[in-house]
Amino acid sequence: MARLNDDGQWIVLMGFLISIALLFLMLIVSQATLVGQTTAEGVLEFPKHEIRDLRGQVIDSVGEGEFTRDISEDIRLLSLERNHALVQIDKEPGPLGTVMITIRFNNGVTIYEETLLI
Amino acid sequence: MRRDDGVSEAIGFILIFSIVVIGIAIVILYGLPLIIAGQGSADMRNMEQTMIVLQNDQKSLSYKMVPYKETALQVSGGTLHVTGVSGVFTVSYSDPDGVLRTLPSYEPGQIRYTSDLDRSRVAIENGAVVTRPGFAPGSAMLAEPRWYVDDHQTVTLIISFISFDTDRDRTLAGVGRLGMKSVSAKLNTTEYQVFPGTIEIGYTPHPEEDYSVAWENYLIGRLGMHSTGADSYRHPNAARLIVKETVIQISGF
Repeated sequence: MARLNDDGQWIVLMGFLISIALLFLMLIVSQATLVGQTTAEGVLEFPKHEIRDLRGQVIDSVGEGEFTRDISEDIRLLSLERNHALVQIDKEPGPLGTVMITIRFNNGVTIYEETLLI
Repeated sequence: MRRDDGVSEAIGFILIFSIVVIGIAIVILYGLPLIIAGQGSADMRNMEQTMIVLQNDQKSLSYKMVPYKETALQVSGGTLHVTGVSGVFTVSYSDPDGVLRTLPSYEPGQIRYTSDLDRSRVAIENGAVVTRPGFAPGSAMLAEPRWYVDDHQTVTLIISFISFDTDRDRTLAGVGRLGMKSVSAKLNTTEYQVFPGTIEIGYTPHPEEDYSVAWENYLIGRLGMHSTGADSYRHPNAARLIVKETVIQISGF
């Protein structure tokens, strides 16, 4: 009698290794949602379309010679009401009969400023 | 020849078996509370994420003219509660003629999650995600509201109040939907000309839902305001004040 049977030691060893692997996987999974959320949020926040619309509108009305104080005020009020953004458009005469327009857009997250010669 | 007359498989088995049983007992005695606490904090973190998603929905409704948003969410390890009760914000300023004006106060209401484990909370109050421990003072802001200062030519302070309109208090535990609709008739943006440095914002916390530390840190740290007494803050040089009011109607669950 009295002979130790140690053929099953690998089972214990495998169990040990698998449990450590599971621990690491758990750590990775618990961090994953956090990263995804912040990235998605950053992409959503950027006001690309708002700035494009604003630029397009200003360039159009300056090109057609219709850009007045009233239109500038309308654009400002609409931006504030709809996009929660402060917009300021300044018009100055530029060189050689051009018009120099400065557009400034600030919605609390993104500040955008551009000077155009039209 | 090896002398192993004293070695017995039965004794060895009993020894190893008892070590295993003692190990399990120690895990249950000391480890289980840790596991439960870990589950509780995982639930809490999960809800923090959900609240940030809900806050994004609110931002879309308030600042992007989106009419309706619906989010499916799972509330585990606690309850989600929508209520009209919260801290109260007051705004006062003096106009360039020196007349002191006080705007009607805002009680925006809360979407609040209370953990079953230790009663700690995470809530959306006035567009900000705030959290506080269950039985201890103090609070923190996890995600900020969209208030800002623009100092291009005139220093302008833009603040927005997002209130909830619930016809009744609502409670959710488990899986549910939360629909949010912006009440366009109550959407309002007003501009005020201000004598520079006279805008005062007051926050009166609800006695049981006190997030004053979070709001204090936000107003002082991010908006550059100064404290002028208990829960009252003044902006040093803003000459224009823009107040945006949004009312969001909550439906679902």
